[in-house]
Amino acid sequence: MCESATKALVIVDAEGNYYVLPGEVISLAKAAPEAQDAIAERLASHARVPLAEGYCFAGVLTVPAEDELAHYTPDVAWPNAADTP
Amino acid sequence: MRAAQRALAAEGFVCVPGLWGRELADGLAAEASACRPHARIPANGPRTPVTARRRGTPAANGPLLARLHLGLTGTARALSGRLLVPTFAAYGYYEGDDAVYLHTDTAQCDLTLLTTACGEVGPLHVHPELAGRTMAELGSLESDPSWDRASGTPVRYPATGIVALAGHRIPHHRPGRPAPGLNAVAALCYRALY
Repeated sequence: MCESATKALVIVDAEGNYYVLPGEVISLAKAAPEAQDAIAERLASHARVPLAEGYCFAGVLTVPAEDELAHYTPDVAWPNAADTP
Repeated sequence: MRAAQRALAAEGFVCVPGLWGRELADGLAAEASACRPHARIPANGPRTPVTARRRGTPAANGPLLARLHLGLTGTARALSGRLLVPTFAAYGYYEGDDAVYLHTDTAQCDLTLLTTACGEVGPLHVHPELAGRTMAELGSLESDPSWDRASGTPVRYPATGIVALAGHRIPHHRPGRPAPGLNAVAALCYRALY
């Protein structure tokens, strides 16, 4: 039996719809430390609105089309054996 | 979709059938077959250090596969809960047998979507229990005659859908069996932007 309470962040849209974000989803979405500056540059505002449990709302991230395809390559890759010396 | 999200998060892989119809499946099969003459052993990709090499697996790509790749970006993000971007997509060709060395995918593949493009291949065997092993360690296992090649969890690719796999994290292989004719797997890879 689960003995610990479950917590989730809940955001709400203009129509009153709730969006429940469990801790597991938030953990998966944690950005790499080296990405902090890049994320900050993409946020429209740097105001932090306190939510709960130590979290703040940092803003809406907009990813430009060129960044969406920044890692795209037409060069294919496929698993094979390594070259032996 | 929620059940698939949970399974992917918990196990590192999930099968999602029924994402497209017969027309697209037929289109992928036709493109994979048409691209076979242009396929080459690619310069990039995971390279398992093994003591006994089998035949190499050539790969190619095509415009329909590229469109599917971009079109499934939202599905990839919804499944993983991460801000993924597309990296590369390819057809890999298996003629004679369908074996794949034990490996993890490159860093371009935080999420790998796999489907059968044409013909038929056996199930992929995924190994959550080997997560964290290096390619050298996986190569040692692959080269060990006593290693159970039937080990792992077998996952069959759906005909009109995908197997989503945390490819850079979860080792996987296909034991290999006779595979007459032309058989092609399509792989669509995505990496987390942040």
